[in-house]
Amino acid sequence: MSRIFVSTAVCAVTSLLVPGWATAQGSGTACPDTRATEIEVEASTGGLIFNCRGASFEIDGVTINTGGSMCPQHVIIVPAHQICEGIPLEGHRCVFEGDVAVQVHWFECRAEWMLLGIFGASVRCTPSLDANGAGKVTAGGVIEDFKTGKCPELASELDEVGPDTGSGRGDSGSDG
Amino acid sequence: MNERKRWLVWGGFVLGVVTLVGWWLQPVPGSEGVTADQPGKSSGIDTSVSLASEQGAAPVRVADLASETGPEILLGDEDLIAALRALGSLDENTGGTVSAIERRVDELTMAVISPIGRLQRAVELLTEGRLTEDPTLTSAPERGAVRGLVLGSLLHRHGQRSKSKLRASSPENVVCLALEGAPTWTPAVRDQLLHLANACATDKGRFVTGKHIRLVVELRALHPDLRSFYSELLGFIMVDLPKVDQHLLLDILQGEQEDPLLVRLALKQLFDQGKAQLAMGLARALLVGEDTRNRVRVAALSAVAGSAPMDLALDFVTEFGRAGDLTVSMALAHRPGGEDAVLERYSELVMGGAAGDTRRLLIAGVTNQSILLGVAQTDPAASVRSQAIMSGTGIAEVHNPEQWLDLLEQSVGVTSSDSAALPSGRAAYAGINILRQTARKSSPVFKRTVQLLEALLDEGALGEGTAGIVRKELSAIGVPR
Repeated sequence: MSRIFVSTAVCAVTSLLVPGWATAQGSGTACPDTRATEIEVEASTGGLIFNCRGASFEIDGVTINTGGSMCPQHVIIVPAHQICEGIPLEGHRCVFEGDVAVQVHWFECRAEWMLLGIFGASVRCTPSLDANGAGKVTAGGVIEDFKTGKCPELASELDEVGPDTGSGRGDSGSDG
Repeated sequence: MNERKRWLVWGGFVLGVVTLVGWWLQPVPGSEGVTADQPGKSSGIDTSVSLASEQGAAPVRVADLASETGPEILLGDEDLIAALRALGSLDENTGGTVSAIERRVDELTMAVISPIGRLQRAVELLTEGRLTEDPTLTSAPERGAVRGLVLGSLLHRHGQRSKSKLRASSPENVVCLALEGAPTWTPAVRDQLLHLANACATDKGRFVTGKHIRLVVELRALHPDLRSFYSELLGFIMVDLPKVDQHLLLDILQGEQEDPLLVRLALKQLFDQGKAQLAMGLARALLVGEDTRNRVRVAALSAVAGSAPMDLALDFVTEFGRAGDLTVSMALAHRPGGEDAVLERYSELVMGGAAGDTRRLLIAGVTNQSILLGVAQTDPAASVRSQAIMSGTGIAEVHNPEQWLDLLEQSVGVTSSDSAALPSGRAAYAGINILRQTARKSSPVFKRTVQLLEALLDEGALGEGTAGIVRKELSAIGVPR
């Protein structure tokens, strides 16, 4: 019995003395030795595809259509950010930094000018305008952004940037 | 001198001039293709053009259909350059009735493209740099050459022979000459070609067709610095082709996969040709590859999401997709029957208690407002509820902003365990979405949205970056914080 007591006491004292054991992700785990991975900015299209039929004119009896045929309703921009993929880096870990908005740029077919500048087409795929006359850009979602932090420093960082601040909701939305 | 003698003298003079010119045009062995400008020549037209030789390097030409040893200035070049300039200046001189404009376009285009040898010479001049006046902008002759190239190719290929003024010939040699010579063009000229190649078409097709696919693929490999240019041309071809050769598709997908557009189009083609298992295998190889760039990953996922059999698409997207892959979510939801299939899978996941990230990914592309409203009200995960609101306000036209505002307002000041709770930052982004789609100031919705954003700032739960964005948005509408 005394041996059990001594062993337990030694383990408890050791856990207080060895650095890093108490600085995990707030749950008492060891340093994961991982880093964040950079993801480049990305643009892609989505939504409906409009067919902008521009000016048509005839040359030598052949009808030439101008204006381009594909106008995506949305161009989606995912900003550069970092993710956690388990890439190893000793003494470090992946830390949540905040949400970054995924931008949705809206487009439509619109008559720009009539016949003058015929090679520029009279109906073009152009940015839509919002209710206030500015280019229409909305947030279609968010990307969680991470950063690489050092394990021994993270205990204090977690106290400052925890997921539950203020009303307890904070900015974090990842809930498994 | 009587009339007859006068005619004989003039006839002899003309014959002599023609003989001299013919001798002058004889190929001179060993001469290079480019010489300096000749400022002394005067034809009443500004022919000051810069040449590749002035930059110290001869132009690189993969194929040279013109004589390698001919003199730079050919008979008719100045006339052709003038015609190109007129065609390229059309925008500045267009006015009047529709029929007058059409006649002008017709006249100027025909002056450049007929006969086909004239169009070929125009492309040669372009490739030799003879038409360049400013390497950063297109000159009028350059614009004329590109317009002539695109329109001329369409007319020679699709022209109606019976009533045509055109002595139509196959333009394919000229098109190939242009594609091979494009590396010597200025970037502005290449952009012009891409614009017109995309914009101009007849009912029978475009400037580039399936006939050019192999050449474009080869040139793309030969000129890696112009990969994006040739890839865009390849995209034009593949979009229109009902069926691309499978070996070419495999070349694209198994070679260097750096072009997201080509990856997406190639996979789509395989799916459309009924090669779903092959396409899925290739897509999986891309997704598990360690060196696959994120853009290619998203392109492969989007192709599967949009074109694979629905159940396979749902399984694949839930396996490889990440929350935030909005393009992929939209590809799933926007295909015929997609929204219903997504919602069915979503319901299964809710019933099975699956992780919120997968549900969030699936509903992100949905645009049906009533469905999104239901998800925003009932999903057990705050991240999914907030995504439903962001999709409802950010990728769909908002017809009833009040219902979204109700949910957002209910989320302010509640604890994270509350069923109405939303991550503050995402609530703020949704509020900004509504603000941007609401007419200013007089609208009750506008006022409520401003109050919501102010409340979120006052709550103190926004991250620094998001708070800055909200302040900037409010400041832009005259509400300083």
